[in-house]
Amino acid sequence: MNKSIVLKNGIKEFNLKNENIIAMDNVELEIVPGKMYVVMGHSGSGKSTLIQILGLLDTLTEGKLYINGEETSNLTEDEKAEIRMKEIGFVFQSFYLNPKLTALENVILPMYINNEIPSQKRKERAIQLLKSFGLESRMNHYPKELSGGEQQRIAISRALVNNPTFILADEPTGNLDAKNEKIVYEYLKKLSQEGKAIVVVSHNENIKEYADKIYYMEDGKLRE
Amino acid sequence: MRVKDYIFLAKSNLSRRKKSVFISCFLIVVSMLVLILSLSFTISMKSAMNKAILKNISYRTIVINGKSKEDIPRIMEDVKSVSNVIKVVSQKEYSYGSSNFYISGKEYNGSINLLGADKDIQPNIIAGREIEKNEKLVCIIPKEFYPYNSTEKYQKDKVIDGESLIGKEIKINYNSYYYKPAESILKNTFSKTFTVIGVYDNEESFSNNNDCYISFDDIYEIQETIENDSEIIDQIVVFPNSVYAIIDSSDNMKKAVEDIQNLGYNATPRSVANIDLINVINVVAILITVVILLIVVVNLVISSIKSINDRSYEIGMLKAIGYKDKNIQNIVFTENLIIGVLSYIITLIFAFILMLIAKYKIVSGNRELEMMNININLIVCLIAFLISTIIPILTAKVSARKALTKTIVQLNKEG
Repeated sequence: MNKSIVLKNGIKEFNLKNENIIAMDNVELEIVPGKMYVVMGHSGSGKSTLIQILGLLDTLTEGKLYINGEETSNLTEDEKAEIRMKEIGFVFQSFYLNPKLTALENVILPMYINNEIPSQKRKERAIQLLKSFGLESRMNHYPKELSGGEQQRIAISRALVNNPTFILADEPTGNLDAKNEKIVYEYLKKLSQEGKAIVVVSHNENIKEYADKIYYMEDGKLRE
Repeated sequence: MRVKDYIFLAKSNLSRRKKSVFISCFLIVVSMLVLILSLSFTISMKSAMNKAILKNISYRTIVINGKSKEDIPRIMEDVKSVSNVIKVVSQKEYSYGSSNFYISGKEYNGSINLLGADKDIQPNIIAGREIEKNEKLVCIIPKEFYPYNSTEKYQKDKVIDGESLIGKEIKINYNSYYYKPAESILKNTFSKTFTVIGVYDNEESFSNNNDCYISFDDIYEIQETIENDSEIIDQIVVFPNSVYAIIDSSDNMKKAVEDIQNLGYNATPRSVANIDLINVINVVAILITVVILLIVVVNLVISSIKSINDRSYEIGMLKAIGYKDKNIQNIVFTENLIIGVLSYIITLIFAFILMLIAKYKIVSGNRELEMMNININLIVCLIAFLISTIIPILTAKVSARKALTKTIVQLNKEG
C-alpha cells in the first residue's frame, strides 16, 4: 500500500462571534514519503489549521481527507488516535515537553501506548534516537536544563520514536535562534531523504532552500 | 499501556502540584482518622457491653417492686409463671453488701457485694468449680479480686489473685441494730464463713471486681437474721420488699418485662446498658467524617480540574501523539488513586500511633476502659480503605471528563 495523505476540496469554516470565517478554502494537497513540503503564509492565513486537519487533530467542514487510502471522516476518536500514534509525528513551536520528565523519558512517552514496541526495547530505541540527534550527554536532563534547540531536537525525537511516515511540524523554529533553526531544518531535510514525508508550516523564508515543494497559503487558499 | 507506566506518569504529574496533593492527603487522613478511631472506639465499647449483657446476671434481672413485705409471696408466685423466667427470688435472697470481712484470716474494712447464685445461675467459672445444687457456705470470687469500694481510686497493688484464694475462707460479719430516730446503734454482730470454690472472669462478664457469688439461701439467712434481730424504736424502717426475676437470656428481657407489667406489677430491668452515648458518638463521628469527605471530594475535583487546565497543552500533546481518552482518564485516575492509597497508609500509621498513645496514656489504669479492650477495628479499616480509594476514583472521572470533552485544538490553544 502506498503511503500518502490526500486532501480533496478541503474546506474548514469557523464561527467566531457569530461571524463565519473560512480558514481553508477548497484545499487540494497530496503528501507522499521522501519529500519535504513547506507551507508558507502569514499569521492567520490558515496554515496551522491545515496541519491540524492533516494530522487528524481537527475535522473538515467539507471535503475529504485520505490517509494511506482510507477516508477519515467516519473514523472514531480512538481510531484517529491509533493513526496519529502509528503514522503521524507532531513537532510544535513550543516543544510541549513534560517538565517533570527527563529528555529520555519525554522521548519514551509515545511508546507507552505502542504495543508493537516491547517495553524492554523502548529505552534502547529512545537512546538511539537521542544519540542520532547528538543529545546522548543530555538525555538525563530536564527540559528546563536544556537550550531551545536541544528541546526542539528532543521534540523531534519524540515525534519519530514510533517510526511514523509523516512528520507535521508547526513553526518548528519559531522559538529558536538562527543557529538552532539551521540545525532543525537540516534534520528535517535529512529525515525526508531517509523516506519520511515532512510537512512544515512556517512564515520563515529561510526554510525554502530545504523544501522539495513549497506552497503558499493566503486567506485559506493554497497555491504552489 | 502498562500499569507501571500509568503509575510513573501519575507520579511525575503529582510532583508538579505538591501543595494541592498535600491538602487532599491531609483532608483524607483527618476524615479517615476520625472515622477509624471513633468507630473502633465505639465498636469496642458496644462489643464489651454486649458481652457484659450476655454474661452478667444483673443485665438479665428484672426488679418487681411490692408495696409491702406481705406482697412478696404472691408476686413471686405470679412471676414464676412468666415465660423465660428461670428463677424468682426475693430481694432478701438476691444481694447483700458487706463492709467488714476477713479474707484468709486478714481483716478488711472494704466492700464486697454478695450476690445470690445457684447451680443454674452463676457466672462462667474459669478455675475451681461451680456451686452445686443446695450447696451452702461456699463462694465464687472474681479472677481479679478487689475487695474495696469501686468509687475509691483503683489501686492495682491491692488486687488479689482470685485463684490463689481457692480453698481459702472468707468470713463475713453482719450486724443487727437498734433503729432509733436519731441514730442506729449496733446490737449484735453475726458471722458466716464461706470457702472459696471457684473463680470467674470479671472482665469478661463486665462485673465489678468485688462481686462474690454465694447461694441464695445464705443471702436470705443473712438478711433474715438482720431483720429479725434488729429492733425498731419509734420510727419506720422499710426492709427489702422487692422481688427479682432472673431471665434465661438478655435477649428476652424486653418481652419478659412487658409480660410482668401485663400482670399489673411495676417491673424494670435491674441494669440497663446505656448505649445512647455510644450511638451519639457514632452519629457525630460519621457526620464529621461525611462533612470532611465532602470537602475532600470538592477539593480533589477542584485540584484535579485545575491541574488539568494547567496542563491543557500537555493533554493536547498527549492526544496529538496518539493517547486515547481512556489513557488520559486512566492517568488522572491513577494520580487520584495514589493520593487515596498514600493517605490511607498515612491514616493507618497515625491511627495505630494514636491508639497506642491512648492505650498507654488514657486507658491504662482505668479499669472500665481496660475492660473494653479498645483496638483498631479491621472492618472499619477496610471501609476506610474503600472510601479512600473510591472517592479519588469518582473525582478522577468527573475531572477527566472536563478535559476529554475538549478538542485537541482547544486544549492546545488553552495551553
